[in-house]
Amino acid sequence: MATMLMLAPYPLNPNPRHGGLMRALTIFDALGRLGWDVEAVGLYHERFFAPQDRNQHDIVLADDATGDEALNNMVFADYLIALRMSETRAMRDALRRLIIERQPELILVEQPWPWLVLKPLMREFPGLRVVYSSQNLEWRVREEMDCAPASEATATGWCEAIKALELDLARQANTVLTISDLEGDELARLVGRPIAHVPATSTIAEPSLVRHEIFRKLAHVEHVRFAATIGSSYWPNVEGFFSLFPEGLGFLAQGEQIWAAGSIGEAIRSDPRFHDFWSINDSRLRHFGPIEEIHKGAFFSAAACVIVPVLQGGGAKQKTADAIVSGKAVIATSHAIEGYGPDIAAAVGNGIYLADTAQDFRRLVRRALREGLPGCSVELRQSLRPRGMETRLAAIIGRPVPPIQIARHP
Amino acid sequence: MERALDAVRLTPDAFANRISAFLLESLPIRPDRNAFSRASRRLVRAVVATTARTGHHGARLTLSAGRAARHRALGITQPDRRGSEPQTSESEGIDEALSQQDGRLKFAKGDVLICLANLWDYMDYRYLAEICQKDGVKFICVIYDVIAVELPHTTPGPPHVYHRHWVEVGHVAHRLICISAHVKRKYTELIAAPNDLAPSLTHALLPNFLAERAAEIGEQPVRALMGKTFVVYCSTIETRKNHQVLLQAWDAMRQDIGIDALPVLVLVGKWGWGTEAVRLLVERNWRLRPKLLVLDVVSDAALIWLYRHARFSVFPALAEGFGLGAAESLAFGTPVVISTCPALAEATEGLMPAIPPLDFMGWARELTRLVTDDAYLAELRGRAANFHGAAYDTFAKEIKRAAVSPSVAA
Repeated sequence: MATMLMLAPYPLNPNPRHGGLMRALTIFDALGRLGWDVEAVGLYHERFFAPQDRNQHDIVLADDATGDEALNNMVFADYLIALRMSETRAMRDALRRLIIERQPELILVEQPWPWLVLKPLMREFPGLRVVYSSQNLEWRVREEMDCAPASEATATGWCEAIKALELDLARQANTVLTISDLEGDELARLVGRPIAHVPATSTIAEPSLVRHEIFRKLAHVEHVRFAATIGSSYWPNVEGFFSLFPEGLGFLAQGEQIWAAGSIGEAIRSDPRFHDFWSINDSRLRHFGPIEEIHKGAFFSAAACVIVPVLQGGGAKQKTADAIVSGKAVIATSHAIEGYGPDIAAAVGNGIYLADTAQDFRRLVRRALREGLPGCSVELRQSLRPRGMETRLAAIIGRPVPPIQIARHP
Repeated sequence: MERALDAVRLTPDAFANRISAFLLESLPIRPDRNAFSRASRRLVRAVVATTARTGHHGARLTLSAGRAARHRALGITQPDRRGSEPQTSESEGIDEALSQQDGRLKFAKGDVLICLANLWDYMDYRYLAEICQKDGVKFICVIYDVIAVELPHTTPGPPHVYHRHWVEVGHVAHRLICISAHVKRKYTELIAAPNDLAPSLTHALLPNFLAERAAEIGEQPVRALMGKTFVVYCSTIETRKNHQVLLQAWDAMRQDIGIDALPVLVLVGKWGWGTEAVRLLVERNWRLRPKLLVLDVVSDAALIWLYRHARFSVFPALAEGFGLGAAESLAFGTPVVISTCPALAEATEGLMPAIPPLDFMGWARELTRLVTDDAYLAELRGRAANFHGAAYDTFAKEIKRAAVSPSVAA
């Protein structure tokens, strides 16, 4: 079987805690189903992932100074870690060894960071194909962020370096795929080459196949109708929540709640803005922490609607895919559906309901809870299934051909 | 502690479901684990669930026995939620509508529940919503102010507790009666609008019991002030009441016109919270001591004497819902200098000079003029004579109007 190395800035494990990892995992699975022997290799710092979450071939930096610097500059942590890894001979050697041992036909670089380590090795493996999988225009996302404690000049410099890294990888890779058609168009314009669009897909269970009833029972027993949201504590998720519910959840009556799964719930509850309206918020928000993939379908199926309150950053795409596939009405911002292409745009008002102001968002949530709103069509939901990604990847990357021997450069 | 009590208050079914959800999350049974691990986890789940349910049962028994004893001691009866018969019509009156059976109150459709106090520490909002929405009880609630949301730093308790109360009553009330047009405006702006509430809101000014009952109460001189010129400020001593500006202005006048020409500043009211700065000004400034008097226990008769014999009154509060002390002063014909808070202008019918509460120079100028300029004082006394005040029964009639007004379907 032809081998592929998948380099990612995190370990791929079966219980992803954020959208980026989930995206990588979906691609990993789809490639496996296409017949590739995919070896996932995480390149990251030891401080960011517990030993039990790591995989056998991961390349892990264990350097206190870099760990401290990354933790102090979370916005640029990925870049700073990758930069230090690229400067560390042991890290480069580890990746070189893996390439020689596994003799991959191609290397898929998930997000641009691993390219810093891989690029210096490329001249040693001239026949090696590279696929770049972009999840965001990383420099653009960071330009919008509060980069403290980094100074403005430092942050600007890092953003420019990240942009150069992304464009360099987009130019040099044999194939580039992006999660967003809009970002793909921009990348294509900047590097002058075609970029393939592979939208996010969702693996949550079909509503008709959900057998797990705990969330439905809980809502029934407590006489609660709820709007569901799943997300990580990634800052745009938290900012989006407080931008769209700036004065708390008092717009919900007794028996109406927002249920949050994923680390976003704890992040919201620990935010001072939640505390300003603690009593009403505590009575209207319920959070469950991270829930397993297999329970997400049950979580959504018990809800009256799914909300995606994200106004900035690049983190909404997986959440939006899950929300659409759930079959429930999706109440989202325009930003949350950016980059999905014309199919999703056509579902606006018919399964997807958009609101970009707090008042409009609240009105839609109440409408879904009190009157009910229909979800997306079966066709649209099916198009966001992993099978759809498989078809796209088969067309873009191809099915594997028998492996070729890669000779080490003298 | 509150969370534990909340858990105990859950019904056995709701508690069992919550435990199940908790165990599901904390002890997941994953298909990739071996059979022994899965069986062990199932066993642990079962033991924990059984133990928790037993504990919950015991705690519920203890809690309900304690509650019953407490209620017996206080002579409180509880509305009976177990049956709706016999129903009584509105015309049979409140006493009959709240008919007692087996020592329990029953609510029937059209019953009127009036909340005159600020019950945020005691209210079960879920129960309140149930009796209003399901049983058709007409809930009428008086809103005294929304200052905790308007100026969150000036309230003694956590502002979110008050906020929730105002939001919850806005969801279910048949009528909210504000104690001034200002409070009605502020409720609309700060509570209704951000939470998309549209409760039925009216307002009626509070009656002036002291002036209405002056003949009955009589008058009792305050010995320490007999034969002296003095100025009265009647209110609790707390941050919001802005005693500081008065004390600073008094000291400025002492230095400007001399202590002999200075009237005694009489602070009538109990020491409240956040009073460190005021205490310092009162206790340390021995130069001002002969011209300061704090009366923290004053009878109604003494208060009437104070209002009648004061040179003038002051009311420099940062925010008010009405400003009863200012209205009382005018009701006895004594001019009062107020802050520019709109509720105070409303309470004093726009007759009196108003100075921004944080304008120290403005207060010092106005007070100096009133202390030294008899003609100006006489002019203000003339204006004060035009004060009408709310009729004694205006507020009661507004409550009655709300009680007999037809219900609007939720």
